[in-house]
Amino acid sequence: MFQVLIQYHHLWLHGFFMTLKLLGTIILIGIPTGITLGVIGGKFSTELGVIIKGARFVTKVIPVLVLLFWLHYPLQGMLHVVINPFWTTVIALGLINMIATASIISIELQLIPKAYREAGITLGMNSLQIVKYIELPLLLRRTLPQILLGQASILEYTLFASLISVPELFRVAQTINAMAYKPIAIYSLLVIFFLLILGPLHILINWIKEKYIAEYA
Amino acid sequence: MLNITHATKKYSRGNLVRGITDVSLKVETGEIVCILGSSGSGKSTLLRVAAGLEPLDSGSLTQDPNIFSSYVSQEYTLWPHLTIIENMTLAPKLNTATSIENLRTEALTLLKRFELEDYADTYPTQLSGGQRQRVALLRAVIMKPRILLLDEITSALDPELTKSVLDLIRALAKDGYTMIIVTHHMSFALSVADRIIFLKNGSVAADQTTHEFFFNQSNPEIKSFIIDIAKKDDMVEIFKGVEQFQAYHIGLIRKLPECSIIHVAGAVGNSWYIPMGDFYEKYEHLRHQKKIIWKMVTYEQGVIDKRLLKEFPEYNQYRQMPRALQNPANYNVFGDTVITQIFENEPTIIQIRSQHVANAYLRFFEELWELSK
Repeated sequence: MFQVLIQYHHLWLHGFFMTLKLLGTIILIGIPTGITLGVIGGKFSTELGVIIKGARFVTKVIPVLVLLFWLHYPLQGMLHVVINPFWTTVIALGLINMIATASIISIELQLIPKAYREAGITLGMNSLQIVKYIELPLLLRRTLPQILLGQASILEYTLFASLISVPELFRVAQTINAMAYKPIAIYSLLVIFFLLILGPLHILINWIKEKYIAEYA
Repeated sequence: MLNITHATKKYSRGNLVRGITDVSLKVETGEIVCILGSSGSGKSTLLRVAAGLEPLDSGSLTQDPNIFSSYVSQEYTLWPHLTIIENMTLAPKLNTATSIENLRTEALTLLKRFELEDYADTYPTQLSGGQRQRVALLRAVIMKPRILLLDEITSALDPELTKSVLDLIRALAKDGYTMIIVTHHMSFALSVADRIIFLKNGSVAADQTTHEFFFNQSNPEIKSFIIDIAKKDDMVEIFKGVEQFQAYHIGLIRKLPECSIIHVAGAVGNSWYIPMGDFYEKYEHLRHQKKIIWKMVTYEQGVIDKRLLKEFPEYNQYRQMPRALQNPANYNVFGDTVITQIFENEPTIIQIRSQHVANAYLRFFEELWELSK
């Protein structure tokens, strides 16, 4: 296993960083836009809230792979454009991430009892103080585990990028396996790489859940 | 202090249109007003209007300048991500010049006074419903409001927890807060309120003094409402500890109509004055203001009793029991209520609200009075 790792370390590193780059870009696009849309949809615009709900339904029923392939082949064919597979993956998974985040935020925003805000008003707090000290911390505690869990799923979805030739970890593992044919060592290394990324993330999610869910029990 | 004039606020819930119509309400400093009425009569809407949480469709709400009012609702509103002490100090920390150390000390003092200090650093979910509502009340109190608006804050609680919250309100009433309280606890309203507002279909059906409302009620509909609700109230209530003892007596003197008589039998010297502490002066002030008479028959006259009899003979009637009749039981009778008081260790009042029992005790009192000189 170590021999494969050392011998093909540049490929492994390339794949590892490609996966991280993919994930980072998807997160950078999906989370801020998702939070913005979620806040608007959950607090200010019922219409947007409905659109988010509909979009969430659509992204849930269409398999990720189908969406990715549809964006990569037929759509680009119809529009006579060629987009780099990396960006096609970013668009597809970023869209899914954005809609999922927006949906979580808008639902949870509506679930924060109105009475908490009113308590703040009657204690003389202004809107900004209420958002900063009450609603935002509550929203973060309620949504953070769900959003992080979403990012873990996104990381798993990046595996599909290998099918449209993005040289991420899985694609790299397949490439190395084609050259060295040591499937046990190669795929065991793949498991370790994913454990290194997903393990801490899941530990963090569980810690947040245990810490904050007790406050609402 | 607070003036609501011709206020109308309507809202629809399905096919139902609810709210208040043309309601006027004026509350003076130190006054305690209870709002009663069947469910859906507009009680909560009126209170939310008074708290400025509902914009009016028409009419006006005016408040003396620089008067801060705090509203506590029937829902649990403690912020779940903050500890009890953080819940209590957040708003004053942001909006007053008081330092966080002083606020913390102030909050701890309040919590200690109401036996909640052990929960200072816990989260709201670790508290019972009654404790949560008491903390919500104290969170409002720490802002030093001039008016407390309390909206059925016991509606979600069982009787035991309800009592703890009502006792806290009694204690705050004793401190001189102006309060508007929506409640369905008749005995509580009777014991703390100066005035009762009765709402029916969103309009004021009665605005009377507490005594008039409960004892001289001419409106048959309100009368039957009182009887129906009173049936659900406890006939026997116990008030334990100095805080409740003081609150009970201050509340009693507030609610009794002018020129009432409190019949006091079997008092032992100065026992009563000790748990009353500093509040005795407030009690006496209110008693003289309302010309309420103590008709006392005791077997031993205390120093303060002697002084009162000398200084204010018009408010104190006194006879001493023959030694042979020595009866250590202390009981007071007023209206339809009898109370027995215990002064040892923790001062305690046992209240029985029953006209029959009160009549029997009153007959016994009159016999003692006749036998005494």
